[in-house]
Amino acid sequence: MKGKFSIKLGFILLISIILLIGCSSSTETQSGQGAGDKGTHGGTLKLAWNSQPPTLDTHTTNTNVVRDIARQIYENLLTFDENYEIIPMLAESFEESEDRKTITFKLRQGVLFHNGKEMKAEDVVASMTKWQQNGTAKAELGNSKWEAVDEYTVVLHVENPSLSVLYRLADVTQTASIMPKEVIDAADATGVKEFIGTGPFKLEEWKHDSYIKLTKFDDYKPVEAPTSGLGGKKEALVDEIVINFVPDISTRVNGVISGEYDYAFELPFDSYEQLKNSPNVVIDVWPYGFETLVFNKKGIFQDIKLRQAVNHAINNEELLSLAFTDKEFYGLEPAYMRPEQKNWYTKAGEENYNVHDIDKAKQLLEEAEYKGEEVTILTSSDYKYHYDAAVIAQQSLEAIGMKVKLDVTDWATLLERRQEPESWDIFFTQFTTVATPLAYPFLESKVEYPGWTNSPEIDRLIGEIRNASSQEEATAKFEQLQATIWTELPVINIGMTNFISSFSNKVKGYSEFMGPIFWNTSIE
Amino acid sequence: MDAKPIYSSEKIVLNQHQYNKEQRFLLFKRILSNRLMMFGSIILILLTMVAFLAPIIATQDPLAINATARLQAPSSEHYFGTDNLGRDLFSRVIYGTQASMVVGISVALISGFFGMVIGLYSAYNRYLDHMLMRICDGLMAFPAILLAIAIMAALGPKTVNVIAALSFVMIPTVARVIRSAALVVKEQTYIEALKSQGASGIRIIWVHIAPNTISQLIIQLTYVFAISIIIEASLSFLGVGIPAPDPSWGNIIYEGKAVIYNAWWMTVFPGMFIILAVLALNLFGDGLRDLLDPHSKK
Amino acid sequence: MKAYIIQRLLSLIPVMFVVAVVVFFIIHLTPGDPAAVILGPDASVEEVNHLREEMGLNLPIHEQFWNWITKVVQGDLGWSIYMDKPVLQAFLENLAPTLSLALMAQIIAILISIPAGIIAATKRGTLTDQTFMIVSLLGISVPNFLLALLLVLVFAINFALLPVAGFQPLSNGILPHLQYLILPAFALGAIQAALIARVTRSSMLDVLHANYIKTARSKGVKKKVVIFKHALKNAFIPILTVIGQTFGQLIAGAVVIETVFNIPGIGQLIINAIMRRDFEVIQGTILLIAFSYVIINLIVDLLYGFFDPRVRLSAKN
Repeated sequence: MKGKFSIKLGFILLISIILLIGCSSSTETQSGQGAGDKGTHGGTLKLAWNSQPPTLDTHTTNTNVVRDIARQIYENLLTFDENYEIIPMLAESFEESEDRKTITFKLRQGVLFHNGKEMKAEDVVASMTKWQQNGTAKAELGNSKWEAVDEYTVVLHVENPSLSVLYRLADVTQTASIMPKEVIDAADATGVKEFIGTGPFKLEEWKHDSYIKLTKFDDYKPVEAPTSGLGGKKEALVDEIVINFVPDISTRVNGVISGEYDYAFELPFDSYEQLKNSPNVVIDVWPYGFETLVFNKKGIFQDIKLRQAVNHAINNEELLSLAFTDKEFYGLEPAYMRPEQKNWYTKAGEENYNVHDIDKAKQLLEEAEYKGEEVTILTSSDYKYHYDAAVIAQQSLEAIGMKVKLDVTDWATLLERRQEPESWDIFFTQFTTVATPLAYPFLESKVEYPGWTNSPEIDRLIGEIRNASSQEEATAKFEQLQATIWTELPVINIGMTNFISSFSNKVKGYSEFMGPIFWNTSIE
Repeated sequence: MDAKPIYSSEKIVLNQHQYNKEQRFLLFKRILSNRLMMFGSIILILLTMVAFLAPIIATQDPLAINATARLQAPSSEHYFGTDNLGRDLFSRVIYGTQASMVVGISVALISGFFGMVIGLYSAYNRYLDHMLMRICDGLMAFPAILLAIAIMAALGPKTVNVIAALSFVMIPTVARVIRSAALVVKEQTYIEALKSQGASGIRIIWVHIAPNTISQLIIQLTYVFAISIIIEASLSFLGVGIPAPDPSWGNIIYEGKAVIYNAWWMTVFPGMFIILAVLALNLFGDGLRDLLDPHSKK
Repeated sequence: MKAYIIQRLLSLIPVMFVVAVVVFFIIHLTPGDPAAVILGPDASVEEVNHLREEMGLNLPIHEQFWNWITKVVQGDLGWSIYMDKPVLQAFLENLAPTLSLALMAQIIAILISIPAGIIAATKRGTLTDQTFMIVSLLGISVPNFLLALLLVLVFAINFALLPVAGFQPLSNGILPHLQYLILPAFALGAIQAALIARVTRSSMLDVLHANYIKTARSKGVKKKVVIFKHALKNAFIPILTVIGQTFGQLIAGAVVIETVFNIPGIGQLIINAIMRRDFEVIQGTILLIAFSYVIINLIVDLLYGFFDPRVRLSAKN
């Protein structure tokens, strides 16, 4: 079964690659022609999104909805090319010292913010200093110092030198976006008040609960290098992108089929057949991440026995096949990094994965002296599969004698409520593909990600990966780390998942790299 | 309300017992002769039986998830097909019937009781009347479903809360109907006579006035029942009613909406039950009104 | 007439007072500290206490109510924590789709129901009449969200004639606007249509049996003329009343229909606010709707009094 999955996955990847190649080549021809007849471009790209971002301040959150929308607006100093290699974006060049203690960034000149101001060293220093106050950035960079040497040179004095600092700066979750200094200065605890970046699109209008409208930033200055991954030449080929918030999944499906939307993000797996039978749309099955059950370790689940009981109560395969419908969209896989990430992929800890055993679960429950305390699963119907996963988990836990309550809110509320330790015990989420395991927020204690993992062993191993002198050493340490995750169970990886999006066949040049990309994308 | 006295007072005083008996017989005969009402009654009896006998009728556990039977079309194994978690839809709709009937009956009883008390006392006491009816006016200024939504937002989704919210919403309507029926009775000479003989207020209200408002109450409660079913289904459909995973007609349809392309049965079967139940109650109520209150028109 | 209007306006005061009390208490019965909700999870106890003080949450409940009601009277309905703007502004921004929907539903309802009611009345007792009665009963018995989904199944999915959901503002052109609204408006208007049709039928029947109509007929006035010129005119008051009363219900029904069709109106505003526990939005929006509901009923009553002087007389007694 696993073999079959990986074959299918390989196939999907192959298709994706072909698509990518196909897309990028068509992009090239288009942009080639574009010089002569700009008039063929333009127009409005109408997107249907599943959920509204709680903010567009990427510094404070690692949620995907922020990541995917904000990447059209903001840029980082560094980014990834298509091989997950680090390349400069807003930096002209960068240099890391031997001891990894100082990193020097030369900034590109003449890059303008959407408010017309040129990006300079002071903006970078202000942005990065704010950015590193939260989440995994805080864990990684801590109190590192950013220093403006001159208008176009910034030096980073790293507090805890590590292999991963550069990765962290380039990463797509809790993105290290560069914003104007004034905007950063005006920010309060809830984040920046204005959303101004340097990206190919600027924020025109945000009508709450309805849409976000981005318009082409006319003064965008692309880099010369060819497009690759998230870097290289970026060009806004459409005048306008309207991101409609359409939480209703059937509306998204029907909207893209009827042509009301040019692109629909994250569609229900049940719509696959229907989309396949529609001649005007292209289906995009793309590797996503893994469905994860997160425990609140400040509540009843600080008891590892109870966490083990849950791990034994849940039937991973059943959950995946119900919530993700078809083997094309899920895989039973204990790995926390995807098989295509050769540097990191390991099956360590496998013996604790998918161990469906109700008797053992009941026994663990008894050992933990569980007395019928109510367990709250926080979930949202914005994401059907998380909701289904929650309902299925509720059934599984009740089958071993736990008392379980579902708390259903919208996703934005869930994001807020999961910050409150007293409000929940379990929630389901997905962690997407990241460049290094250090970017996962749910492991290190100092990240304080909801669930509040606090394991000296995990912290130690992460430290060792960070300080590893070579990739081999890091890989070996990660094997240990993954095994530890499976014994300590701060979270449970239910299995690997793929997603579907769909776009009209009038959309050309769309690509997907750790999330959807709308630059270099045009519409006929 | 311009309803006229239902029975002439002399008859009631002179030979009430015999009159009632005769009346009951006539009533029964007329129920039989009203075909639509008969149809409504039969459906209602069937639905009530389904609700009571749900554990026997249901072919499977309505909560049992089945990974191998996802979204199956109706078949001899699953009469109504299965839902997105492989649960047997027939069993879920049957248990949903139980949920809806429990909510409907509870709301009818609770709002009936409080509505009656409030209606009778405000009919009897002028000062109380003024106060209570202003409150009722205020509550009736809310569209029913909106008030229910607001209360559910405050209380949180739970079956008991649905019953509480709906009862609260329905009480003013019932109270008004009882009040106007009671006012008519109160004006009659024999009540005056009883008063002058020194009968206590409580006795007059409960022994002499209340029984004469019962027919109005019953008619009104069938409508309350019907509206409760509609609002309960709407609340559950909006996700603020009966919480998942317990089945109710409304929340099955809510879940079915996501797969409406693949599984029409998740919308159509519970929908059919809602329509049947409400239609039956309306037919029954209309018939009952024709029988018990021939003067009212609508 | 003037005295009547003043009397009616005065009678609104206790009603609105009760409405305000109910709305106030629903929100205050809700578990959870609004100050803590506003400040978010990172707030310290002192900060929360400080804000509670500032918001007046530590005052006795009647003072809180008084403070709130004085604000409401001045048009300050509170602040949306989630959207970070005044509730009134959020309400007004979401009003247009709801009004469009309700208005279109009302138009559809009237267009269907009045002719149907007249036909049924003139053909009393025939098969047409019976079919009419059954269809109208069905109309009352189908919850609007269910009708909406059934319409979607048939017209949007099976025949793919109309969009499944969504909304286009009028500014994007009248045709797309109508195209998107027709299914929701029909689903919403069906119950109204059934109610209005029933009232039309019975009120036409009453009038058609009145002596003056019989006289007109016997004098040889054409049937059509009798029906449209004499009967309909006189049957119009009850019809108008039911239209007015049901318009308020249309707004309420729109709450549910909007979620089915994903229309960004008041309904979505309320449902989202509930999901996010954005209490001031729930409070303010419900208050505004109840208020407009009362006003609409008042206008209907006044029109009623205008058309039928007997109402004014009886109100005086």
